[in-house]
Amino acid sequence: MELRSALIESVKEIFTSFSFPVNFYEEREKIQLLSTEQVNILIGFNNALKGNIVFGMSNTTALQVVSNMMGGMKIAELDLVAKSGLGELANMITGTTFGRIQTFGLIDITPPTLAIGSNMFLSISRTKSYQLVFQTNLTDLIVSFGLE
Amino acid sequence: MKSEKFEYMCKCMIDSFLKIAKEMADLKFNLNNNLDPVFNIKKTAIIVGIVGANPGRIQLETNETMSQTIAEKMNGETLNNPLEVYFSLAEFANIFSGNGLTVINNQFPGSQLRLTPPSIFVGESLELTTPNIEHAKSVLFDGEDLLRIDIGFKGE
Repeated sequence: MELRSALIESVKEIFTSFSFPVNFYEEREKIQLLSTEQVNILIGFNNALKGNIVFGMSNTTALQVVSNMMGGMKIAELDLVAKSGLGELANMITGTTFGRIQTFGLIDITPPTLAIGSNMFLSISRTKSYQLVFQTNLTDLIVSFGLE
Repeated sequence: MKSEKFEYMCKCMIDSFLKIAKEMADLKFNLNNNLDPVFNIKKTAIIVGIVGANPGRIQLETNETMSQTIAEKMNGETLNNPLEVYFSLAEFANIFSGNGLTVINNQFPGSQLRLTPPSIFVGESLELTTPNIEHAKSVLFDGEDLLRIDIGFKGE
């Protein structure tokens, strides 16, 4: 399976496992600078494949996802525990994705980094990046990836 | 991770930053952790990931003025396109991180550290967090402006 399909499958599987269904509905091919969401989780990778993946979502969606991950506990703000949960979510999705694709070696991933702000732009590749857009019950989930 | 090793790795990165800033942009920075960088509303952050036995990341945080200064000094010309500024800054971060990593890998051959491509984040009230890693923030001052480098690693 190639990266794009594996990523779509893994995002759906992991989010659904936390009772947060998502539906893939659009792919955007972007050059260089992308506008993105308030909450972004970055994971880089190297060795058999080299690049970056960013999971972008609104604050509302992030709070709901963390709440679901914690069994429905009310989450009022993205504190360190909540951020750790989101980082783990990104780890799970990325790990599952790389388990699905065929490569000629191992792929090592970086620890997840959260970038939270407003009016955010990001660039994860000097060449081309792709955005996979998922519909949720709240706001869209945007998964950006770029390969070198 | 033993504190001596972590401190050595951070020192390698800061030394590399100082060396590359001088060589590539003719900028002389001084380490001054007593200063607190006040970023204007818009902040630029470059994140270079690290994989290997001690995965982590190098974070370079600057304001618009400092980003512009580094990029223009590197290129030796005025840059009017913000994208060129961001990419130059990302290249700068990639070079000093790679340089620092080479020194660390030579000292700890088992680490086999490698970089991931730099990511650029630009935003208002931008806040960066990497949970569950050991990290150290350093503030650097060029006489006019400040920037911050946050170095983080995990593992033994």
